[in-house]
Amino acid sequence: MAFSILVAEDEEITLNNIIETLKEEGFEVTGAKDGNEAMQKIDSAYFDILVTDIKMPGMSGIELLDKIKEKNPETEVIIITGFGSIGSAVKAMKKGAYDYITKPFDLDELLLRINKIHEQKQIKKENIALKTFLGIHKEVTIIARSERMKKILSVIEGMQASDCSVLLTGESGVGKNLLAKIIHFTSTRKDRHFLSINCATLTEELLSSELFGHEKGAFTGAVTTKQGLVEIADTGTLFLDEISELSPNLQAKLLKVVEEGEFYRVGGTRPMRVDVRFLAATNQDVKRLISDGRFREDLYYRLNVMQINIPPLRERVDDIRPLSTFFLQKHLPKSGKKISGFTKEAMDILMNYSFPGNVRELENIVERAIILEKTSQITPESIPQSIRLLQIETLDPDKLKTADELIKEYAEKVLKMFNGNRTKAAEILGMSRTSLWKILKEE
Amino acid sequence: MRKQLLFVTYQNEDFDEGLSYAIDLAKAMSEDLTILLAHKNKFLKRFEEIMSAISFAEADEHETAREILSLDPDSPSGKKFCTLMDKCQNAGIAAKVYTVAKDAATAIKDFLKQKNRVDMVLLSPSVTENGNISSGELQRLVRTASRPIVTMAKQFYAA
Repeated sequence: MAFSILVAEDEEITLNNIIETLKEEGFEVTGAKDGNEAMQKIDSAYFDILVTDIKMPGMSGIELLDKIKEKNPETEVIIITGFGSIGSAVKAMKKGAYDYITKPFDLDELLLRINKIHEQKQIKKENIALKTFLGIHKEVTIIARSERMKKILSVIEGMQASDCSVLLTGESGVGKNLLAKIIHFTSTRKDRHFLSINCATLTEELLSSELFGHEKGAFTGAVTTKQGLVEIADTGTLFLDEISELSPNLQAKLLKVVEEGEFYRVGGTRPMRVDVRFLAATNQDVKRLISDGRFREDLYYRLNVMQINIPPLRERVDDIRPLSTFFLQKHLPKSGKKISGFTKEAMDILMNYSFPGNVRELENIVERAIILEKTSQITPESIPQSIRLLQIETLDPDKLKTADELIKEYAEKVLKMFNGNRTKAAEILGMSRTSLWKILKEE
Repeated sequence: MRKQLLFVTYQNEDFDEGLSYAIDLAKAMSEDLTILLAHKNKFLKRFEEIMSAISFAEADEHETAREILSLDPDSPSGKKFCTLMDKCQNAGIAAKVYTVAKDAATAIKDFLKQKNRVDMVLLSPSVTENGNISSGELQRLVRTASRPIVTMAKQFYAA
């Protein structure tokens, strides 16, 4: 969103000079010949700065200042005063004007003040981003020893120059949040904001306000205007976790931002324009949600330009050992203990466990084991008893097969063993060639 | 609203081990726990009780046999309910308990239709043992649940 300035000045030559100078500096500038025209412009668009003459026909600069501060408190106002009307300038300052400048003035003086406001607003935006959620992490570590995770990282590497939306899918605890950060910090937007929000943790009203901001007075408790995450993430990345939890109303609003880069604050009447890269994540079957009418298909296709499915930990067993070691090294320092690693028996338990809670669960197990362990290695006794005493299996729909599927799979294996010789394969399987053909051709 | 783990077991069954695991997993995942107390297939349960009563009667423990046969299979055990809630509270896990007069597979299917925040379903050892839930029912559940189904079985170690 470009920095926008409104200039209200009834002297045409002065107005045009100011507009031209500011445009040359790269600002988005709009002019108004009097206070009423300026007010009309304010009603239809948002401005970061208002530069206004104090004496204008119709509405004066002071009146304009009052009105804009009521409507958009965050818009800074610079008053242009005539020689001899310093009293009015002081009055304006008391009413909330940022600064004043007296005629005749050097345009460079005005530019200096405007650049100062611009810089301050940028810093404020960055501070909000840093304080609000995760802020900017310069180092993101990922452990990927398994082929499947290496493939995913390779895909992400290939996307570095792209700005496309990405949908991350996978069970809870697989690392969707971490992958989102990696996508951002390897992209061209890596020096810009990375913000994230979990769509399931807030009510629809609060989520709407958090995402899109609100105008002062938009609802009970909205005592000031607030910028939303979409606005703060401008030129950066916004990660929406549990996207499937968005209400239909918010899905519609989000679609407009994703498609057109435009949105309205809650209670707002003027469109805001942003350039945000969207990353989204869900652990649900979005296609099923679409067929149930709970998720918009058009929003899905907009967010799903690229989809990355992160496999559960039980399907990338090669990552368990290095992850365990990583979490041991991560959590050991705060324990003050000297633990060098895992005993073979302890690691065997971890390697044979199905981790329904995935990487998050593994980290928790290692963290607890460090606390409980009294020796120099993590032993089975420090691993939760329930995992040691029970045989835990996590069932996937993809992994459960019908008898027919199993038969077909076996028949294909046998056929492969005999290099495609159906006669031999049928003989081994104890069936006719026709029966074998029927089994193999079934979808 | 936090995500939930759905732990399914039977009323009047020993669910200690399965519940401990469910609590550990809820802690690890920072999720809440919902416990569904289903009904065992009435016929099977009643048959088990009759066989137990016969065994006691054959051992001349007729009083015990009479007690078993007089048990109402439909009444939930209040004492166990409190134990269950106490365990969860002591572990710092927010838990809700539902009792349903349905078999496990139907109870789970109906529950998941209403509640979207269930992250995964944990079946206690008693649910998956002894044919209480058939493989066909389990397969259907896995295909329709749209979330991981976790089964538990007791480990047996050679002496």
